[in-house]
Amino acid sequence: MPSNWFKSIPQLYAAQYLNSGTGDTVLGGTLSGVPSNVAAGAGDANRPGDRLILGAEDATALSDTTIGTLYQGMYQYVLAKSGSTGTATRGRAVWWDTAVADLNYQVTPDETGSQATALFAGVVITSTIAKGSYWWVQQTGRVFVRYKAAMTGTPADGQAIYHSVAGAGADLGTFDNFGGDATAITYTLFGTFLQKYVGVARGLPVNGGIATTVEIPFGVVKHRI
Amino acid sequence: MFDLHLDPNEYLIARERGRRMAAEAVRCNPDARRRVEDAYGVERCMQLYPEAYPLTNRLCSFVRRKLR
Repeated sequence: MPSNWFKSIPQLYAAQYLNSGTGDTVLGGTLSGVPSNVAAGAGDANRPGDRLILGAEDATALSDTTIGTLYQGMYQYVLAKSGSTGTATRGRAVWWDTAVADLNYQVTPDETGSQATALFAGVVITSTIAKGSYWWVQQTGRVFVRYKAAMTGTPADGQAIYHSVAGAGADLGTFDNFGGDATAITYTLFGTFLQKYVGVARGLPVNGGIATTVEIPFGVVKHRI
Repeated sequence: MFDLHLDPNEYLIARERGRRMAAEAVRCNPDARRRVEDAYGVERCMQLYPEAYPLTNRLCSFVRRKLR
């Protein structure tokens, strides 16, 4: 992780909150007004791969409530792929892009390529991360997610939640309960479900909605340290 | 909650960075400050984000606590 104890305070610049704006077009964010004799780049602030762990109070302070509420958990500063087909929008999963080196911390909303949906990188917390921009995604803790338009099983509070792996379109990067907890599991299914497992629902999942949250434990995201 | 998938030092760094970013929001953003103070109380905020409050406020808070 390219961070250290003595780095300056992470800056939000144009966006006042952690879940507002469409991402930093310049690495680390741009200054809206540049004082004389100060370099315009703010690269000493946020770097790709930086992490935040927020407590309850921190998450409250950094939430743009017109967009949504943030909760305790870990967040990482990543780069949204500039040439992606899909767009990283709020509540959807993004994946590590294996087409570039890991140190770029580049993510893509597309469920294609060699990584497909195997390398879960986090959940988008702002309305949109513009393609080619940098912003924070949530990797563990409680987070609002967008469910598949028609979930496979009957939704229930507390049930296991998985990636829907819908491929493309409106359900790109959404979440699903599959058969719910009642589906008989086979070893083939077990491997798939282990790979796609995200966490447990907190609140009743709603078809096509982003009304409730999932609790993502540590170790589910394929962490880039 | 945490199984420390991270090295403990990295965990502490990330936690402190999160706290500092929130403190900056409390210091600079009146809406954020009001929301946190309403939810958790001014004294809790002063303890968590001392850099966001003037020293005199913190001293008054300290004296109030001692006098209780």
